[in-house]
Amino acid sequence: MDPQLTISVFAGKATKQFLKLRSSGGTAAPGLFSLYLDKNALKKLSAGLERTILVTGTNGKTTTTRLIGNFLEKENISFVHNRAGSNLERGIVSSLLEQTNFSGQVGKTTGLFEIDEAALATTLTKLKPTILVITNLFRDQLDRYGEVDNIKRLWEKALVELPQSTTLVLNADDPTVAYLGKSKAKVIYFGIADETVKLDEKPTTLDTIVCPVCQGDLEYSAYFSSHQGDYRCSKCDFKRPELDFFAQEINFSEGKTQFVIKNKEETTTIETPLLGLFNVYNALASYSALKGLELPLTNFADVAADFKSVFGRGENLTFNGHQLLVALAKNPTGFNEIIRTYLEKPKQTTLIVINDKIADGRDVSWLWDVDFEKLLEKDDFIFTSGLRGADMALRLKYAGFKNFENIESLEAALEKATNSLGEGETLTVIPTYTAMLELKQLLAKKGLAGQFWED
Amino acid sequence: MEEQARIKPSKLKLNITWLYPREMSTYGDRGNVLTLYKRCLWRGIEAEVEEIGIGKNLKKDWTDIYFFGGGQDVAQTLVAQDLLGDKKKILKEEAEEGKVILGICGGYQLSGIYYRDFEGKEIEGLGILDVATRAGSKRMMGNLVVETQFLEEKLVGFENHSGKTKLGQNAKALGKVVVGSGNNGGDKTEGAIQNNVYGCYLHGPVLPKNPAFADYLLHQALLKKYGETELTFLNDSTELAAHEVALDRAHKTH
Repeated sequence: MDPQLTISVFAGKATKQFLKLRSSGGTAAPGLFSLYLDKNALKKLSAGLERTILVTGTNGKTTTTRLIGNFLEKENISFVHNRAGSNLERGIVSSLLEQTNFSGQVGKTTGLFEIDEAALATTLTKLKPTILVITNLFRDQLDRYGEVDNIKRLWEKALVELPQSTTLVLNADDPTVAYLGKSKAKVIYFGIADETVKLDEKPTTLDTIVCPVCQGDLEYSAYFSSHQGDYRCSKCDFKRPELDFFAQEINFSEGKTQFVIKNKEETTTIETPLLGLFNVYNALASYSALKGLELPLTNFADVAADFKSVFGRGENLTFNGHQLLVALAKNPTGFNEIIRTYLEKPKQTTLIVINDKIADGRDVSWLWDVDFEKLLEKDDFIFTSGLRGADMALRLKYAGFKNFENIESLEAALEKATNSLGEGETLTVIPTYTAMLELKQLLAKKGLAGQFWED
Repeated sequence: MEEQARIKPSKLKLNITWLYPREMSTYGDRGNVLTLYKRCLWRGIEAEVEEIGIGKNLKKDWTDIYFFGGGQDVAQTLVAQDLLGDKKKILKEEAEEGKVILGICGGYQLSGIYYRDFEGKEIEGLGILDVATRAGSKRMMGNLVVETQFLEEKLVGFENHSGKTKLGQNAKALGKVVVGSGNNGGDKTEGAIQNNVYGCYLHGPVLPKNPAFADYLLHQALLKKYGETELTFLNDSTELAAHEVALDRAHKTH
């Protein structure tokens, strides 16, 4: 019995109850309060878990974690998951509090947490994960995370403290992520081994341009997405590590993605409603993580097939008789992938909603690193909205678009955009993070989708 | 001057050199090059953009406007090494001749005399702006609004730097900080001007949503090349709407 922890747990749980009564959706506050009363709450609460999977990286954390969670659920493995949102230490503590009795004993065997890339260092030693998955490293909200180099340094520092028992699951196609596996005992590398999905030309947005070891130029035999690809350094012997699990035979067709995940011995065929190459990476990451736990993965294909998209991650909605597809965009690479996945289709209507709140990144200059020019030929109509919708409209003007309109109010923009749709046409909505939350509330107000904390 | 004023826009051409587009374009700074280019084309002025990366030589006397953006620390060190030698010599000569040069953030710092890091190690700059920058411990980050003496409208953008820049005797400030930190968070100055060299910490990118600044630079370049010329009017309603919003957000987020 640890009296400090008990008080901390009690206070956290009470906060949760209080928020429930007030029906406000705070997912971080209980954890924050617990940590205030016992700063070791995370370490103590997670000590009872048999195993912990931690997922970090710029893009794909949420989908990767949910795929793993859905699999654990199917296998009847009890787990705690910071599913409802906050991916900082306080959010993880909040999720643990829900499964904990007053002496701080957690009633589940497995911990499954996504963690903000900048918060990895402080949580790693407290959680001592069995598996640490790193999905990728892209430039993301420079004002929050600083430059890519900065996150790289934070991760390197964090991994010095990595427990010997932890298995690293790394994206081999991302040079910086792959580099983190050097001199580590247990590493599983995943990547793509399919030339058919390589980009025709060197992408304009590259967040890593030099070798993480010697700063020599990286040479690529294939770029798959931004700086993810098959590379080697022109100066030293650094190159893409040999892949333990790889995706091949990738095929995108209307509404689904097909591919196989292979290693030396086995092949798993996947067919999933998760669209886009970034979701192939997410599936690979979750598959490799579960392999790291040495679980039999016979049901993985079913889990991927049944995956229901997370709000804002490309789900199809019907709203007032109109088809909507909502795809969150946080950074240039993510936005370029959305363009590649959803917009390289026949003529359509799009609504882009750009906010500049702290969670979106205050700096909107990244919009100028997205390849909107690729869409020019299609003569699409693009509506823009949000706190920085005017910046977005300006970006479109300089990309060469004629058909665009900025409407400040999201509600008015949504109405006008849906009303302009042709028969059977889908409106693609691309919001930044807080714009996505606003959209979700707006849709809920109009009778669609649940509130975010019920998700 | 009368003669030259009658030069038809179609006869005009500006050559733009974009320094280190791969290494020094972290904050959407390519929008600045796009803006200079498009605002020429929309007016019937021919424009050509030449990209100069590491290891590629500058063509002396070809350029009318140089653009030098910001990059990450690692890239900045590589770029600084590449600049020394021939490139520095050409840029220095052309700066003194009055060629238009715009440096943003890292490009601004490297246009100065030196950048001194935490260990006291100095990275030599081009020396085309009499400014010097030292590494600082606090990151100056947020919307930035600047009042200049050469433009009616305020400049607005986003700063994100920890280097503190101090002006020397030969450089004037680009403007006075209205919102934000500017050069060093202390003396209320932002950016620098010397000859026709302009440096500042304004990302955003700065030129699309401050069209008056973009046109000022184009005008300076045309003056230098052709003598007196006037820029034709463009409909800037989209630009000015973004400018308004950015100003409003700058005041609200501070």
